[in-house]
Amino acid sequence: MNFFKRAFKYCIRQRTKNMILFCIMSVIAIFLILSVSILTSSKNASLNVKGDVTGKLQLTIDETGNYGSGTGSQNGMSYIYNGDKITSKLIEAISKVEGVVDYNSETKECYYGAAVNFKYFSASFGGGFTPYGDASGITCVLSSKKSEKFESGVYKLKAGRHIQPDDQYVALMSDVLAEYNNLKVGDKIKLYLPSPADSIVELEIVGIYEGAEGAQSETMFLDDIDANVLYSDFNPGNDEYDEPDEYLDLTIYVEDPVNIRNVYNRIMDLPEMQGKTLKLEMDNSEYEQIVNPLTQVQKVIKILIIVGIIVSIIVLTLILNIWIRNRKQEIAILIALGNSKKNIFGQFLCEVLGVAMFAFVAVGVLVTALRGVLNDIIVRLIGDETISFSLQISSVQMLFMCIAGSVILVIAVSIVTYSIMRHKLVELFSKTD
Amino acid sequence: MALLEVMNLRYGYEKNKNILKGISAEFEARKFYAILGPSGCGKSTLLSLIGGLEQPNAGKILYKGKQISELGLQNHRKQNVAFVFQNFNLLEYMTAEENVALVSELPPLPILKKMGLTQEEAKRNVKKLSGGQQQRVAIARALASERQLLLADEPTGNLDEEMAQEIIEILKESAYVHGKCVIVVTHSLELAGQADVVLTLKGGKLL
Repeated sequence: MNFFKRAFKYCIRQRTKNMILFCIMSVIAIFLILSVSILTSSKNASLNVKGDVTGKLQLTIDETGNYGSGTGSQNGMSYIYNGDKITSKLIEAISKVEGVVDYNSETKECYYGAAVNFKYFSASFGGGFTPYGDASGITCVLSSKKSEKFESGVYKLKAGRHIQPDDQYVALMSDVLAEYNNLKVGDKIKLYLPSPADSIVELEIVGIYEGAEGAQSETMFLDDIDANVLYSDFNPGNDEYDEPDEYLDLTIYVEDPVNIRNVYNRIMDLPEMQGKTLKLEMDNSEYEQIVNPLTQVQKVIKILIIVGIIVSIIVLTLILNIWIRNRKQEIAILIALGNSKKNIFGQFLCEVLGVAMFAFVAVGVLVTALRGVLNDIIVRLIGDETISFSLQISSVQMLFMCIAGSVILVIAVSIVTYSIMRHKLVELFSKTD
Repeated sequence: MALLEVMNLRYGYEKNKNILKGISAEFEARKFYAILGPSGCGKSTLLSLIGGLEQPNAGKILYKGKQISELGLQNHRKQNVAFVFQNFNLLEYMTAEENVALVSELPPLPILKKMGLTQEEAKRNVKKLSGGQQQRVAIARALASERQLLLADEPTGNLDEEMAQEIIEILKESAYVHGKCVIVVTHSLELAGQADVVLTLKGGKLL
């Protein structure tokens, strides 16, 4: 009779022990498949976040030691930055760097413009600062989509499109101001730029945004009323005030926040960056804020898997040690009948693996059936709607469960049978008589 | 030529403390041997060495002229040796038939019937058989293996007189009819008296 047959007969006749082993293996299998499924699913969730959230690099002027000797006046000394600024040529080079998906520079109150062919909401300080009334601060951007209030979701584009880096003489207006003036996308507004420009510029409304509050009582200045703030490109101000096409800061958006370091290095290696008094810093905080919990979970789960496997081996070894030690008589008989130790080890292994296979199948069916319920529980525990977590239970995880579970059993059975069979046969035999 | 020969066997569980101090003997087929001696004199140990359960510290064991260590102890047990024990040593989760099937591919029922078991008893779990029946199953298993050396360690120790005598008869039949070399370890003078050759072990030596 070969060891398969002996193992089969033992399994079907020792039901109580095998039921206990089945329960233990089921618990181990559930732990294995759930932990590796959650690990895989959280990695996928991180990748999804990576797709939804970009990383950022901040390019700014380096003010350290880059101010001139100063100019004295009755008010004291004044210092002017005399280092390099961010030029259009540099911006163009950065825009072509692999991994860069967008960029923006934003300056509030970049220049001031009084309304010529439309009206602002009035404030307490009204009056004749200009021939056309008071002037409101204009926010200049390279890309309005990436400006602060649009990024944070305070403002949303309601009609038209956003301002883009290659736009010239365009504007974004709040919906309440547009309605107040009966303006729409495509209409042209005129702004008077005060001295030293003393000129009128015409801007085309390319987009209308919502979210800004309209007129309020006791507002001091025009641009204290959010709805009065227009967005425009830098060109009107630069042209009329004879300013060079340069910027003090630039926010660079990176497609893959995980590889932000590579993009950083590519930008630093640009010829246009060499020797410039500019500094580049990484800002992955938004991505990391969302992903860090997931990363922590993954670390914890990896540790849990290792600890769980070790504990499973220990628990199984202890239990099997008791059971197999009670079979010393059987071992001695089989050896006396001419069976090798390998043959006997093979029988014990077949017994436990046979039971384990049933446990793996049962757990696989159970976990697959309950996937939805388990997913809901985990999503509720995460509690962050920005993370799209979906528990995956695939054949890969099932295979891991079977292989890891089998390895645990092989190790446990090996330890126990070695500890018993290393005894001299005569000793083993004499202990049974 | 002797079927089995032991030459100057020495064995001890501890260093410098030999239980067997130079045992030499020959055993032939178709004979019934008894090894007699007081408890703890090394009778079972000698049987274990002959049966290939352990290596002697010194000396040789030859089976059909070849050292069993060259064949390999496991092969020697598998090909040449059948054991019968005092405690029957059957696999408790198997039936009588299945215990016999452990050592032989041939149908076990005929040999169990020869041992006096019915068909119904042969299909019963061995725990549900009497002591005598269990020992018969053990002997059936030994005979079914067709191995020439039958080693029995106190085979009647747990049996009453009547049953014991039946077992002895079966063992004698194994030797005289089936041609086996039967070696029985016993402390019973009555059993020893029925053997062809009695070897008395005392102080680690054969008297």
